[in-house]
Amino acid sequence: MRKDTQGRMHFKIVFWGPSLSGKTTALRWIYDNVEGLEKGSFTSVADHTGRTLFFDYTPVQATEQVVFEIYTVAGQKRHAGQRKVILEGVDGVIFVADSAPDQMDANIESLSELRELLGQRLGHEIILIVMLNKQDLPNAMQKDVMLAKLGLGNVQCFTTCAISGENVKRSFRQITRDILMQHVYQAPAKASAS
Amino acid sequence: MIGGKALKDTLKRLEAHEGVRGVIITNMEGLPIKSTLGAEKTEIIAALITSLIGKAKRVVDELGEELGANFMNFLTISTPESEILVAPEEDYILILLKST
Amino acid sequence: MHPVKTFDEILADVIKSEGGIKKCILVDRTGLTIAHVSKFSYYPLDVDGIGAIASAVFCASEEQGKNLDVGNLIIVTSEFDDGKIFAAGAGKGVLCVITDKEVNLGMIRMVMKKAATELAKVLEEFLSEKPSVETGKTDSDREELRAALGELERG
Repeated sequence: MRKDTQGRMHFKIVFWGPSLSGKTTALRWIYDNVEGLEKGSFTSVADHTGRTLFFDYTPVQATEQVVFEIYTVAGQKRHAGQRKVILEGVDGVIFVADSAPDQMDANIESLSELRELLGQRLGHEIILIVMLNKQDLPNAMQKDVMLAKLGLGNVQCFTTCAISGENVKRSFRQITRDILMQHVYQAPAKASAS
Repeated sequence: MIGGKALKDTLKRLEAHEGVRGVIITNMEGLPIKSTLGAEKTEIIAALITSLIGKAKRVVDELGEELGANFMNFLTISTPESEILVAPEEDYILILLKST
Repeated sequence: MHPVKTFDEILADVIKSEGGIKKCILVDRTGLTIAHVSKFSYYPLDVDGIGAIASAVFCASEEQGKNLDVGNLIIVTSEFDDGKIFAAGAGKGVLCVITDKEVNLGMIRMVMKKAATELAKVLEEFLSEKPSVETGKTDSDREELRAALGELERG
């Protein structure tokens, strides 16, 4: 969480995941479909085919004083340096896994990169939500199988289809809610922590 | 356009004059090309003088009629202790720092 | 206590220091735009998006510098057909300056370096004022966060 000079609170959410798993599509869907919240413009650093080269970004305002800065990262392996930069100051990560069986290794690799960069903070101070995307594929892997292979036990997880928007809004709501809850109910000083 | 060797010799020759503390040649964007002074000092002087030359040129341009010409040959800044001599050319500026 | 210049004042000094500067933005390393000033207020721009890119580009260059072991990054200059963009490290922030094509590069560099030092100091203070995770939040912050929760439930 950071505050700007007007005292507004900003929270940073990053969509993370392997190449072509649907991170940008999911953010686009949120940008186009989530109503009732004020949104800034959609900034994208992409190549001419629309593939994210660096990141996508859009701010979403919950109230006058609370803003979510939402980013995606470039999924391709060679963009590791850029990904690290985008992760700076993150409050919550939505890990977008590709449900196609042949992408499982890429999912595992991407998650382990994330774990390496955030260490123990991931899943604690930094909220983690998992989207098992492309569940509409005929050969999509099952939720339990995927989570087991990713080594994710107790994690908030949604099966999604970013193109149709299936469960994308729920994932977004969950992470924003979890981030806010964490900050509302944070122990005021260590005294009240049991 | 003069070559690197000729440029170096010119700088040396100027520097050899009595009281000369430094010579800088800068381009019109305020980036130094050659200098006999340290990098940081050079950058600051080049930036400030280029900025001043831009303004002085506007003065000459506006007062062309008064001055009988609308281009500037030379600019001198003098203090009780020292002088800065500036010769603006087409593409670069020659700056000379001198004690008096 | 010394009167501390505000972000806006420092940025305004930068913009006034040399002709051709159109816009100054201060962002932090996470991409958040902290302050910005423009010469023409009608000049319509998505400041948040520009700030996000400026911060990311600077930090990516910095990362590149680390990999190549060439020391700290001071300034990034991007030259375009019709203008220039500069980004200079300012402690925990990045100072971004957008100019016309024809500018005094030397002056811009000098002014930016000076302002970056000032901004770094003010930023350090500004960021340390924030309640940390350990100290908790003010009541009004909590109220705001609850309101935001309510807003999200409705959506």
